[in-house]
Amino acid sequence: MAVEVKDLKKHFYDAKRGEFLAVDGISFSCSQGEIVGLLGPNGAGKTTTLRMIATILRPDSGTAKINGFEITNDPQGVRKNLGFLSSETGLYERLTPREILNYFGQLSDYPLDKLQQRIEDLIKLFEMSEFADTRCERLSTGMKQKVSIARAIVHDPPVMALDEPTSGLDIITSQNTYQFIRDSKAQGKCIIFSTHIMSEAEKLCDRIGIIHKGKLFAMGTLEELRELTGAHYLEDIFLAIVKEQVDV
Amino acid sequence: MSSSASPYNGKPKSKTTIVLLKELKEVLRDYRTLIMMIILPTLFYPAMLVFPATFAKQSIAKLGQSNVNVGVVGQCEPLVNQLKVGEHLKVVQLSETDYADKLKSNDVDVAILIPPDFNELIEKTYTSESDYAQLKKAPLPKLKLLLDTNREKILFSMASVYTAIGEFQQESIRKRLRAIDVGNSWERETKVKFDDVSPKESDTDDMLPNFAPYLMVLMVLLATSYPAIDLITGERQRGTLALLLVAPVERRSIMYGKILVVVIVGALTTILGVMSIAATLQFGPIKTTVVDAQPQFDFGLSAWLLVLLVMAPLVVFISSLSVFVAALTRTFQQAQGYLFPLLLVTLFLASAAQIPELADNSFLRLVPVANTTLCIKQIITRHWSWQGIAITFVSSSIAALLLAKSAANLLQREDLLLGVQLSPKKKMETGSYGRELIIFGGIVFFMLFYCGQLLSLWNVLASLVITQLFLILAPALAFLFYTKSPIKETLSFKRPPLRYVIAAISLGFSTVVISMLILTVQTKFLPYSEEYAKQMQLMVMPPGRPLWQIILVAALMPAICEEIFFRGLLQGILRKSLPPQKLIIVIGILFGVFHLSMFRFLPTGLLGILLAYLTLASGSIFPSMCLHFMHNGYYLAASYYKLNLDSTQCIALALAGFVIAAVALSWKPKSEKLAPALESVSDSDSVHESQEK
Ligand SMILES: Nc1ncnc2c1ncn2[C@@H]1O[C@H](COP(=O)(O)OP(=O)(O)OP(=O)(O)O)[C@@H](O)[C@H]1O
Ligand SMILES: [Mg+2]
Repeated sequence: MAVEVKDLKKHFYDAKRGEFLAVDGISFSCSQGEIVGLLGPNGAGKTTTLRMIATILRPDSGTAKINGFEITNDPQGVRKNLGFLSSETGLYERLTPREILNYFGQLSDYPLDKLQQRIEDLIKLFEMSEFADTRCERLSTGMKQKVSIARAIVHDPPVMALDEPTSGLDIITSQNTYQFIRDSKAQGKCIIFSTHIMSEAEKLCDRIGIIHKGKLFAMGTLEELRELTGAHYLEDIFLAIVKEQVDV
Repeated sequence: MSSSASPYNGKPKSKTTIVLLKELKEVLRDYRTLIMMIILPTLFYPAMLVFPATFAKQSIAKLGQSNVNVGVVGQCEPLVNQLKVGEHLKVVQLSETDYADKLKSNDVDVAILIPPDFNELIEKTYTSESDYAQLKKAPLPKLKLLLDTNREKILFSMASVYTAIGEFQQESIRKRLRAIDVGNSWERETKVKFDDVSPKESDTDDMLPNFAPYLMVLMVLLATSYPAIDLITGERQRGTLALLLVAPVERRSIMYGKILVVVIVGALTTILGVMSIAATLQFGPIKTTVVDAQPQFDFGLSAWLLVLLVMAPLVVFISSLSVFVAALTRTFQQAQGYLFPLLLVTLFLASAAQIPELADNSFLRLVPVANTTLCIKQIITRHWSWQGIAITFVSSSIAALLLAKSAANLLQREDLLLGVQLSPKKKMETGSYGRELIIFGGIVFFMLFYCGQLLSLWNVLASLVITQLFLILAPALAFLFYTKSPIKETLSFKRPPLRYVIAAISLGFSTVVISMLILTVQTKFLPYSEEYAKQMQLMVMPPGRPLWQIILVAALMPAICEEIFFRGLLQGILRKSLPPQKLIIVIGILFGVFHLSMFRFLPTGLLGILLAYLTLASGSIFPSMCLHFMHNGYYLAASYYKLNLDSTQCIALALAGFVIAAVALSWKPKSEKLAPALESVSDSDSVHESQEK
């Protein structure tokens, strides 16, 4: 298994809500050449889960392994094997996309002799050639998102954790991103991505996990989920699962 | 994780260099940094030096241009001649009877009264030793100057009058010297006197040695704080730091890369600033100072290079400090809020070098910022030594390195990176009150420093009471209530095992003797200033007070209030996050610093460590209260009765105290469960255990 997540838990606190579990015992796995989607409404705990996997949040309990590296014991190993895209992160405003890709490529130990070629490929893949040498402060939201995705995978990691990769993208760019994810799958990458868009999950994912209020309620292929709930569309499946669990 | 484990190989640049190059590029693309880095040092700082001086000079020149009417009463032709050639001087002869009126009506601005015997005394030449002996007995020739000091205009114009009189004096001395046979025994004496009249070389303009070090510190701080905030807080706020932290880079490499960039910016600013200040002083209008009698500022290239050299560790230290402070903040606003206290603290440190009593102190060499400003001042006044510069260099670099290391650890903190808050319950369990403690400690420290000192000017005894109750006890209790900490548990209010009480009581006298011995040895390296000795004396023996009052105020109250603050509150909170050895050392150091005196740092710090140990080992605050009371009490009584503490009897008594304490502490009754001792790592757990028993 490329990714194994076991019983991750994370508490947060704020003055109004008091202490609460943002992630409440989430476990799942994802193998090479597989796309796993984490589907959940706002505040479900998707970002928090991915952040723990990406070693920038420390879980209160539970563990995760990325390509065999444990997130708390060997975060450096995890970081080498992971491409992480977060919806809340920015870009260096005063650098150009090419400079950013260069920077992260070098930091991630990508072989220097191949780095320039890799950057060229990425610029072509995400259609960034027009603005590859413009400072990021002058880019549009969608352009920035493209740069962010390219940055996350510039070192060609075997595992990708993408937090809402298509937020802010138009249909064409979204399609390109889907294509990129499918291509990566074909190359044997392990991809976990979060979304709250049902159609996206339906189209792309080999398996879908349904997260609500920090809990993973169900995980399986679309077929399995249909069988579980008797509903056909993912929307209905989602509602059925969430309602059933809340009612209990 | 070593980078050799990576599947890829052949990487020519270290991660630190990669970070450094990228940050440098980004910084140089920011016009705000450029302004701070180039415009301020090249234009603003020299202007700060030049404007006040030029302005003063111009206005004085204007005032000095107006004519001065000098009225002379009495006769002395050489003097009158000198006055007549003086710039802007008009001399009129006045009589004994009318000069007062003329002064009043402003017809003359100044009257010079020449006594009748003046000429005789001045013009008489001496050719033999007996003549000289006579001269010594004779009254000195005196001139009397009358003027209205309320008239500013005249005050400035008086320079010409003084110059004329000075010229006259020197001329008459010269004349007399010419008349003397060379080789006479007293000739030399006169000559030496004459030499003394010439200005001394180190009499450099006062403003410069006092002002320049501040300017340098301010310059470095302003230049480094902006890029530091931009590189750390900025990355946090824009959300790029999380990306960087997900890249396989050591946190240390990130931090060092960033600090190096800040150092480069600071260094460039410093070089530019020092160069332009040097150029201004060398060629600019400040060259002739207000009082013409003083020598012109003359400061060679080598001295400026030396200034740059001692600035190097300062730049590194302040860069690390700025980065450290920036690492503590999440938003620009927060960072700007931290900037002002940072400025205060650095300028406070810089000011230490200005206090003459401290300036010759070897301890000051170890304090970052203070040691550099001291060096700069000494270079300007030409009293520097390589030894001083070397110590400054080493100590500042070590401090900078420590700061850099702790800053690196701050990068990943969840609260700073993602705004994750701990719940009050968890906070209390883990004692994570870092920020609160820093703010709280800072406030208490400044209150003590200013209010305490001000109060003691008013009434020593009353100030001690107020300090103990309102600046120490009250804040401690306030902090306890604010954090809703359980009072009994945090303050270790618990019945102590008997042997700790015995040890505490028997150690009371011993610690006094040890403190005195330490002070005796310390004075060899760190001599007391008289002023300080007087202050101390006043504190332990306020005049006209009976001993019982002094003991009540200076022994019992500190034993309660200070113990509640240090061994109670601080130790109670810090013991949750610090391992025991570190804990007692930290508490000791804080206790030493709290006494606000370098001279007392060592003895009080050691006492603090002992007190912290007693509290930690016994699980109760009462033994340390006991010891604190005994210690202060013995000390006060000894000073009251002027007891000689380094006598053999006293030392024997002290040793006996140690032996008793050692025996008491090593005696462990079987019935008593092992008290939370130093070996236990998690002290809070063992406190619970022993409470359950
Ligand atoms: N730093 C924080 N401090 C306190 N609470 C937080 C913090 N970050 C997230 N939370 C809370 O944790 C819960 C999970 O948040 P998370 O960001 O993981 O949700 P999400 O599934 O990514 O939602 P979205 O689809 O809106 O991105 C939310 O209730 C959120 O308010
Ligand atoms: Mg999210």
